Amino acid sequence: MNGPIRMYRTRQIVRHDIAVELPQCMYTLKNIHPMKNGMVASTDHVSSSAKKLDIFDQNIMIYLRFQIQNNHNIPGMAELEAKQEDILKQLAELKKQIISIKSDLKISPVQPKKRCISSSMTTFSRTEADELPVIVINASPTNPPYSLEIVQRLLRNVITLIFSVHLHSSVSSLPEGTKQLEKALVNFSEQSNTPKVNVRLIWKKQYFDSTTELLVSHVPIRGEANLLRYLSRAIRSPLTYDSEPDCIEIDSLLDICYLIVRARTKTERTNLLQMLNKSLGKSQWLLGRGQASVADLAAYSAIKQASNASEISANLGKWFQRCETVLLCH
Amino acid sequence: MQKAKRHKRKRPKKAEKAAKKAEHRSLPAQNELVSQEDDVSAGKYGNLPLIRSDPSAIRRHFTYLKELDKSVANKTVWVRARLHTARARGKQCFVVLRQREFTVQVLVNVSDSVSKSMVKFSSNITKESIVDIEARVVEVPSGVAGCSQQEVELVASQIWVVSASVPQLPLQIEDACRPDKPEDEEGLNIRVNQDTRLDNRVLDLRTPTSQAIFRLEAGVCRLFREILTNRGFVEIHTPKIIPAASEGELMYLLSVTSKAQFLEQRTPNTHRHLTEFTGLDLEMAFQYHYHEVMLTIGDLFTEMFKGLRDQYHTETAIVGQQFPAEPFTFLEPPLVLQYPQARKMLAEAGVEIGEEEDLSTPAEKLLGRLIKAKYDTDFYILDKYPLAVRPFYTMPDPQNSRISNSYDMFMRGEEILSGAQRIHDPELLTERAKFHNIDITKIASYIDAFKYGCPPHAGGGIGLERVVMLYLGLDNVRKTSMFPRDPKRVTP
Repeated sequence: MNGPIRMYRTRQIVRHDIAVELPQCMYTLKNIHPMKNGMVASTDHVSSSAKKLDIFDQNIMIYLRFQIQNNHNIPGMAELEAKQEDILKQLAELKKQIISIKSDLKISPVQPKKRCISSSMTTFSRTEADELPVIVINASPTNPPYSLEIVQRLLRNVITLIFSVHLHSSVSSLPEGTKQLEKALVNFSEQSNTPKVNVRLIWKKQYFDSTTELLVSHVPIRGEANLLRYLSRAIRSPLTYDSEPDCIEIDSLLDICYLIVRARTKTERTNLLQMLNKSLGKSQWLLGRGQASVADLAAYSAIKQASNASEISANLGKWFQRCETVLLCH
Repeated sequence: MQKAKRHKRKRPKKAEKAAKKAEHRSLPAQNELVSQEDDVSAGKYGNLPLIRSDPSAIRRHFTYLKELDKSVANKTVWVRARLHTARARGKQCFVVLRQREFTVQVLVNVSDSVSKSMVKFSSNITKESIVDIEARVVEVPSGVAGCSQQEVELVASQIWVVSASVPQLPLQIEDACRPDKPEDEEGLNIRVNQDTRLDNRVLDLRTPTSQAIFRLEAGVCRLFREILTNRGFVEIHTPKIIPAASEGELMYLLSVTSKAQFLEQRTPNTHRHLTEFTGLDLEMAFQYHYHEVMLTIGDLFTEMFKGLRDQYHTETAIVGQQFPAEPFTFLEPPLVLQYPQARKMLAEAGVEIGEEEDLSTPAEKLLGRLIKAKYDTDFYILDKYPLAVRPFYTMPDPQNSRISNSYDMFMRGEEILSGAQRIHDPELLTERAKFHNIDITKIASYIDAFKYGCPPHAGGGIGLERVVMLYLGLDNVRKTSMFPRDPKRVTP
């Protein structure tokens, strides 16, 4: 009756469900109270009812009505439950249908991709070119994020990353490898039908362990591995691994790549490289996959930055070659 | 550290002194005159006669203070420098000499060749006097604190005053040099205020900071000239006197380097405006797009900043010691943003700027901070300003009649250059001038200049003082103008 507390009940003093007689005055005032419910809809003023009910009678009446309602509700409830059950069943069937349609569509692998493109296309093309977010990547010239080149190529059917490169005043000259990466990123031939995102790559002396920083909001995303994680989540593409069964393994491999770049000693690095080697096994790509994943990109970049050919095993060396030929040239 | 050294020296000297005293006592009848004759240092100190380029005067080879280091230890040198401070302590006198931004400590102490009266004389030389000192360079392993030449000190054997200063200085150089650190509450809090400095600019210019500022300013000017000369620009000098009726900005036109001098009644009393300033302007013809010019100017700045970073880091550091500022950062190639992008960035930060509205000074500063946070650059170019906020001779954009082919360049969030493609067609120029209600007859000569064919051109101009102020992160443009002129100051 009066809220959820059942310990006390207060008597209802005023009834609202009584038709109110309006006074026949000279003029009527506009109702300043918005209509709250049907009961007072027709009334302009709350006035005392003409038929004065005994408060005690009133209470009894309400109590009785409540009891009756409760008793009568039980069969109704059962009906309702049955109805709900039915609806749930229908929903499950609908879901099955949708899944089957989805799997039907997946038979041709181009189609879902196209859907990806079109969906991102529609979202991007609606926004004007200058309204697109400008992504800023701060990178240290001593540890260039080589994976960006592969990312740019892999995503070219989904999104075009247009790089413009700046040299920050804290750096006076660029090493050769960095210049090559810069050239490859800037000279990338863009595809006209995909949405474009402007990325500003700034070569900068980094104060935090020469890691790469990605600036999307006020707080930078540090580390190349995290940059890749962000990109794979932000853009639905072949790189996305969230729904893959081995996403945890991919994550841990990304962490290993991060550590390879940061390793201080050679032994530390060799241990980490061995873990990569183990994961590669005899398969084409890391984690025994048939297709390259984000982990391959990160590992490629980390190895290119941190170690030389003599440090990696023959198996890893072959994989590295494969990265260069397959990922960079197709 | 100095005290310890002093004690070491004292021991042998005490013996000497005792011997001298014994001598004096053995001749009790001597009067004062005799005691002066007795001065072992006579002829080794005093006031030099006025140097009037007398051909018979002796010539000495002087060593610069900055050359005094370990390599000349134990050699006897002559130096001519300013007396920065002199402090007497009994039989010793510590003198600090200053030359440009370099300082060195000189010790004058009583010895068999240096008399007590010579020490007294050196301690009484007024500050800021020019002195000639002959001294032996002595290595100080523990270093001399508070001097730029920390490796060595000088032990004087002769001291001559070349040009004496008056004893009462309107400001103390030490006070004028004191670092500006508001958070440091324990240090001495004596500062010289801006007006006192400017009233006594001759003294104020002697501080290492002022020296460094003007050397850097010369560097900006030199780099500007060098870079543009290498690119094939021709330096010209334009008239400084123009008909009063012309709009202030007109005079910048068609100049490459000019000292623009004009007294403008409405010049506000702000930290960044002066009534007289040194303007470095450039105009350039282009082929198809005014971005050719804009990016040339951008590259000019990048090269200039690189020159300042690489060649003037000592000067920057000296100024930074007194007026701490974050080091100036820039990108190569410079960051170019479009006006709508800037508006969007400001809108995200909660400042709405209308589509055809100019940026207010606080908005410009905020934008500077936003860009610094995102791109970590203190220099950037803002392109495509709305036509409505630009002067009549600015070329409108071919695709959108509401925006113009104009750009502003910023350092630390303050505008340093404003430029645009100029209208080079007399008809369009007349039309635009009429639109702005400008009396055509008054600018007839300007319009006529385009009647005989003119290539498309664009340009812009910088104020030398403002660029130096912002590069160093100083708070007032008067610090970077040697003798600033504003509505309240025409002297010195």
